[in-house]
Amino acid sequence: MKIKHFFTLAIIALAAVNGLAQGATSTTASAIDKYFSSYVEDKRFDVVYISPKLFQMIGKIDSKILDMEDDAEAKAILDMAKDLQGLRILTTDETPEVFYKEAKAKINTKEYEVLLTVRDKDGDNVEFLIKETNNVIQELLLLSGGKEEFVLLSFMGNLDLNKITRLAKEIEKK
Amino acid sequence: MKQQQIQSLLDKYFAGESSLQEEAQLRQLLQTEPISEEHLTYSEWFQLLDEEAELSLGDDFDAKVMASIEAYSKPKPVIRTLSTSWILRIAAVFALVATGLWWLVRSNPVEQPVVAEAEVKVIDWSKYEPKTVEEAYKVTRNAFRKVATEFNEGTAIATQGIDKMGEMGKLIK
Repeated sequence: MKIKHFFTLAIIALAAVNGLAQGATSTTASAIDKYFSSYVEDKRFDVVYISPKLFQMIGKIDSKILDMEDDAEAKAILDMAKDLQGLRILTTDETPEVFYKEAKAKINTKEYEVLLTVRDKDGDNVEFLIKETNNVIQELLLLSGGKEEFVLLSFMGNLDLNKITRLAKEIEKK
Repeated sequence: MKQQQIQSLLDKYFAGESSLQEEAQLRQLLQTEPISEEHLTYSEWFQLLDEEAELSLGDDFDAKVMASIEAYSKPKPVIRTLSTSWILRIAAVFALVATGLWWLVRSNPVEQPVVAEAEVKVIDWSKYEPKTVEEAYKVTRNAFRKVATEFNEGTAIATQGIDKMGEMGKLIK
């Protein structure tokens, strides 16, 4: 046995440590799922879920039925909705700041990347987080917490930031 | 007569009583005079001694001896190797460290210290779906409006910040 064998063993051992660490991390990978599952049946929270099937149906129905008062905005919304695989919403007006901090602590920062953080004069906090795979946004999280309300939005599916910007511009025009 | 002289000198030689002159005389008689068969052995004996005396060490003898002494006295390079038992001990230490780290990470997850540790339940999401497509559209629209509004607000704050930094930069200049 030579020194080089020792180094080979050391590298294997370190790789094993890394693998174990990553395995342990993967147990926290579904942090948002865990968060939803913690509060989905909590009476303090309002929960809404839009399934892929509903998104498909939204894309097919007549725009007149939907009372789309603003065509450009509706088009932008429908354009984004067709790429979505699901939307989960969790809101509460009870101790919103506590739930905001709790949700932030819960999110796995290795899994999600902060896109935008806003803190306004009233002390309301908003954070946009994205989960990317091969440079494609797979999930967009919006965390909002202030004195009045806590909101957690989870958009799942292929998301295009350009489409979000387009919609933001349409709303800004109003 | 010569044979008797040779015998007499041989007796003195083997008795260790002969002088150098007598020894030289004996050698000469054995080489030059016709000798008997019994003295032939002695003649060959002295001839062998003379031949061996002529043997000498070569000029490079000293150099060879010195080289071999130096080679012997030079310390051999030490090659350090780890024995199999040591490799196994080190591997065991790494394995223990790896197991310890895994246990620590598993038992003390760093990034989820606050929220109640509820196991991920299988959620029946259909319970939370809007009953109509119109309602679903309104929820989706409101969600996107929330995103767009906050996005606009965030970018507006960022733009203000950049503008302020630009003004400060001008003041510094």
